[in-house]
Amino acid sequence: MSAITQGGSQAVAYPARRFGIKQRRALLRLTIIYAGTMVLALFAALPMVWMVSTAIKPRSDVFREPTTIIPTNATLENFIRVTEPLTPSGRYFGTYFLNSTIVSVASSVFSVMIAAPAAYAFSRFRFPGKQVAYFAILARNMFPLIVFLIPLFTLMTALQLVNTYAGLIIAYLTFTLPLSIWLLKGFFDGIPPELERAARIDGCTRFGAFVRIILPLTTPGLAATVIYSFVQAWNEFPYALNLAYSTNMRTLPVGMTFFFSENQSDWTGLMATAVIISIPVVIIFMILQRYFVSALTQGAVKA
Amino acid sequence: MANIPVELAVPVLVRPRQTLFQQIIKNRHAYLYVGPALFIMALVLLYPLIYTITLSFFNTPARSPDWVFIGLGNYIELFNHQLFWLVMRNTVSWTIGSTISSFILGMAAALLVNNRLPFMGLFKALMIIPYVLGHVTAAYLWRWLMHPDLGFISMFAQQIGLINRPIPFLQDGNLVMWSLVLVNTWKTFPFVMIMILAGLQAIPQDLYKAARVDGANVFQQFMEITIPQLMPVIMVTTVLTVIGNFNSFTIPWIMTGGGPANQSEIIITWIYGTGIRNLRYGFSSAISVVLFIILGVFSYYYVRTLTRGSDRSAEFEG
Repeated sequence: MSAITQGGSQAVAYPARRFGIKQRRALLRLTIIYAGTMVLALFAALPMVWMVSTAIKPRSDVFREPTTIIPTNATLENFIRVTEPLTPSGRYFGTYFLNSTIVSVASSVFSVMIAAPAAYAFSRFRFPGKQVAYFAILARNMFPLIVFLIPLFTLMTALQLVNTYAGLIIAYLTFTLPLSIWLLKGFFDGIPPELERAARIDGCTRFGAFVRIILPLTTPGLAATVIYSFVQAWNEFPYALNLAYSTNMRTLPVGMTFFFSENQSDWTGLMATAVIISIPVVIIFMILQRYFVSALTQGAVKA
Repeated sequence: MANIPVELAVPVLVRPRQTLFQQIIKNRHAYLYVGPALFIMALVLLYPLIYTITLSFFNTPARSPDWVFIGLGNYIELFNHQLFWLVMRNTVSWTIGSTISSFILGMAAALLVNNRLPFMGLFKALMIIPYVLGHVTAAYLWRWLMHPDLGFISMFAQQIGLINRPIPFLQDGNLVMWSLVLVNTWKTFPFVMIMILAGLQAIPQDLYKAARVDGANVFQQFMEITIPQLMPVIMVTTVLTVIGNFNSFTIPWIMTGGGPANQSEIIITWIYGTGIRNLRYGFSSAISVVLFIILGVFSYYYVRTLTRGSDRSAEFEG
């Protein structure tokens, strides 16, 4: 906020008639910047405002004209209707929420546990087959999940893992694992190898150096990777729809599509569900924005 | 200090040539690190890949295990399919349209919030949220916004007298693709913003100082410093955005399911529709293989842009 004192903002302190050409240009610049930012922020935020607005309107209010953004008589009845275990529409909400949590946490944590040593090897060791393996892992990110759906479904059927947590968690490793390996390799690359060398000289084993020196140093990177995978898994839809479709195994996004097809015109209920699903990821993002952004941009902005 | 590993104490300057087998034995520890990851990748990636390619040469009747080998039959059907060119055209509109529009908005947003002014952090956080929301959530939210009778856009535009009839965003075959592009832009532009912003912040400020001393104006500084310095980030972001859009499934699937009359059918929704909904596994796999080939072209640029970073293994021999 100390930047206020620089450039254009000084102009605000002067009375209007004393504006020199410099101040006027600075004021114009400020106006353009804020106007542009507001337009874009409005484009991003208005749909979400409408989502919340619909979610807290009484069900009959959506048919009323003229429509208003700020509800005249706000209510929480939609949230109660979609989460209340005793109503037909909210009966399974708790199950879906629990399923989403279990699957997202497990797949993000497992993927980082498996990815960390692999990423370390890709960052530090030379071994035959390294280039091919790393290429294959990077290349995975390009392929859409849909093309692997039929074979994965057959595989999971053969392993009797359809409609189980394990099945969905393994399927989620398809995208969390390559992503984690790539992100973590970037973080390991940023640590000077001299540190392990020093640890080895002090009698540390190779694996000990990795666990005791490198992993603690990359805690922010590990956190960023877990968060990123968690958000991906929390929001995933096609695999969950096809590999965990039974009523007691559905995740929240899948539950939402079933809610929609069973209650076609219940837009307020649907938006209430949307708000509830979004809250965890938005909170996580707000708290850990810095890590999230670093996970997204590392690699792209490496010198 | 008693047991210093020899290879650490004495730098090896000339390394004798080793056979592949010797190299594998010498570096066997590395395979313990990558083993679990590679096993899982083989299970969930390599196996499905081979399975899909195999399946594409078979006719697979629904709900029956009897596969019939038909050679290139599925491919011949695919290229002569009445929807083939429509789907290709839609896919191009969707991918290129979303990429260009999210790039323009994302770039503008990055340049704007990069100014060190009050509230910019808040605006930035606000603009990232669409990217964090789930695709299912976004799709239903926009389906509701674009509802012809009750949706906010139609209702609000009518209230302020902009239009006098509801806009059939998702019901009109000529409009539907562009409606989807709008939704995808909303969802994707924050990603471009984050990437460009990180790129902008990595540009050394000295360059701008020097340019100002030389009398360059804002526009010249932008063209001569910002754009060239951002080029690597722009490349990576473009490749990632193109691939992301090309592979995007949930938004089109939930919002239109490819309709009306296949006017918003793209490759991904077509694969899903023929494979999972109509249970034509063989034909669906043939489309997937065509998709692999298209993606193969992207993959070259993708991997090249991503692996250009530093690799520390050359200076570290553990």
